[in-house]
Amino acid sequence: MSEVKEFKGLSKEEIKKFEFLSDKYADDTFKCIRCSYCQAKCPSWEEFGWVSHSARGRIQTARGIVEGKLRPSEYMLRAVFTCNMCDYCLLKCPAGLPTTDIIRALKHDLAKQGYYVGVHKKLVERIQKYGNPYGEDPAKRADWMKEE
Amino acid sequence: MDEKIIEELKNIVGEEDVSTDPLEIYVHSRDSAPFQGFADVIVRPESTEEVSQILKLANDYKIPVYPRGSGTSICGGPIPVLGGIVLAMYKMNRIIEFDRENLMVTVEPGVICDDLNEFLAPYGYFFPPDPGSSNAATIGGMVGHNAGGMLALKYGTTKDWIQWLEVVLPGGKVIRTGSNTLKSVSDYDLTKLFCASEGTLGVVTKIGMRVAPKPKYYRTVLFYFDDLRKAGNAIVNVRSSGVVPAALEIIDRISMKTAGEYTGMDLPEAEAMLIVQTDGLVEEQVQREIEICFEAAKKAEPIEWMMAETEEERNKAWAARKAAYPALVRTSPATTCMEDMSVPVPKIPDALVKLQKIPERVNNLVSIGIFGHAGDGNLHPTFQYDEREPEQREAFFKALDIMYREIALPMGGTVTGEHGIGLIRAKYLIDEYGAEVVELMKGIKKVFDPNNIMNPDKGKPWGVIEV
Repeated sequence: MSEVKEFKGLSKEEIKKFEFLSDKYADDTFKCIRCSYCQAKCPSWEEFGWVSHSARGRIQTARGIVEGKLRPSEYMLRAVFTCNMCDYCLLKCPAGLPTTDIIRALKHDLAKQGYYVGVHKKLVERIQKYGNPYGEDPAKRADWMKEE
Repeated sequence: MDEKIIEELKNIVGEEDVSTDPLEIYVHSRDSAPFQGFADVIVRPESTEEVSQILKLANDYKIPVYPRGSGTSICGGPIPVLGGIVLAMYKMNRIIEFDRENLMVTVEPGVICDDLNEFLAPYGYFFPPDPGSSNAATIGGMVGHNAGGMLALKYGTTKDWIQWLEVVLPGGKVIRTGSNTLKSVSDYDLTKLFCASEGTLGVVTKIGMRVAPKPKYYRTVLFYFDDLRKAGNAIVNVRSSGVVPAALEIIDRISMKTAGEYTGMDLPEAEAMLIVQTDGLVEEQVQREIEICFEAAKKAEPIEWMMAETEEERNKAWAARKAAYPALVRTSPATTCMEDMSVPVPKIPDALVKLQKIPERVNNLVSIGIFGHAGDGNLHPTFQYDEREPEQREAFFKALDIMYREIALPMGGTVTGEHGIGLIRAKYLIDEYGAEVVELMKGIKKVFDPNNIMNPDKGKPWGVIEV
């Protein structure tokens, strides 16, 4: 018998903090009919081969958060942030769900709650400091042009 | 689950193919049906040998095992209701051999139906069963549920194309059923027994299937009727015309309205729409066949019709039918459940009339749209409701009782034409077959799976589960 009887996710108060997701897309996550049309050729599904790392998995992840059955984890962050937002799922969804918007909201809310992968923190710091994600001095951005 | 079992699973398939992460367990907890169950571990085997070792381990420790393809099932078939191991067949997705002389293809169960047809197309062949989910459904899942589709009237369902199966039984023994020959009557037809067994008897690891020449020509005609009985007469007329159309589909008034609004198509006011399609390799024959179907259907007095002459017109003719389901999903408050019942073809009009009245009987807490494969009597009443509202959820299950117990079965029909029993129709199995037949099926299950580890507590054959 399963030891995982019920998944204890976030509390109602914690879910509210996922405001983008719960205000705008909660109903959409329930409309997903789990047909897997978005999964079959999802690039990250093809790369990783775990449902959590596919479009279907990410829409379900969003539902799991808003219905209070999932908590953010390192594994979830990798599953969510490996989406490259290519819109394949958007084109395939028979329910017409704004799939990439839902995933974007999921990424946004996770990041806002402080759940983001290390490399993103570095990117944010560079953008704040230099105005670009490369950590390069903006004053030198035209240096590649040779003088006549 | 004991950590020792997890370690043994990792020893069999490798650490990277075993997951106990709560997120992975969660995303494997549902199919398209409104149920949920949590496994203890998800395992991705890559070979028959690995599946064999896993089933031996599971049998020794009496751990439930749930084979799973893309999870497109809409009956709750792969849901791990008792915990245990989800056997995710994703990595067993190779097309092993195409024997062009014997017109057979051998595949692993994780191959996606459309991928197989893409592979076969350059050779001029195709695998005819075409469930609506063919772009995601795996061949293993299609075997498990004996998937059909729009072409079933002419080409049959999955089981009609399967020649042999390699199956791992609980305990790890590997058997092969059937043969490479077109004819063989030397066994109890174990191949067909596994088709539609929904993973309750063993795990299919290789599939030998016939393929068919891909049609080169198609002709399509569309009819609108102001009376369901006239549409029913047209179906009977076409079926008795001497032509077997490739597809003969029906959409009811409600689905037409929703599909019309969704596609922006200006569909006439009608009670039903019928689509008839013929196909084949010889253009003149395909044309003659559609003319015969056209004359037969016209005798039933359609109010309007359209013969599609070009591919563009053919696509237009199919647009409303293909939009029927997505349109219902998009207009649903939250949950959309496509159901599955079959009645003898002449009973279709009566069935449609009764099905349309179901919402009234449950205080209009659910809505319904109906479309389906009229040529073979298989209808897909599709319900809209919000599963988060207990009253609506209760009304949905009451609607199912009415549909199966008061409409499908009394008409001499079946509670599932092509979707399977799973969880959602489990309790109706005894209504359809009676206790004696269910006992016989239990006996078959015990022969293959004495410890009841394979997809346990599903309708086949245990019959009753309260959900």
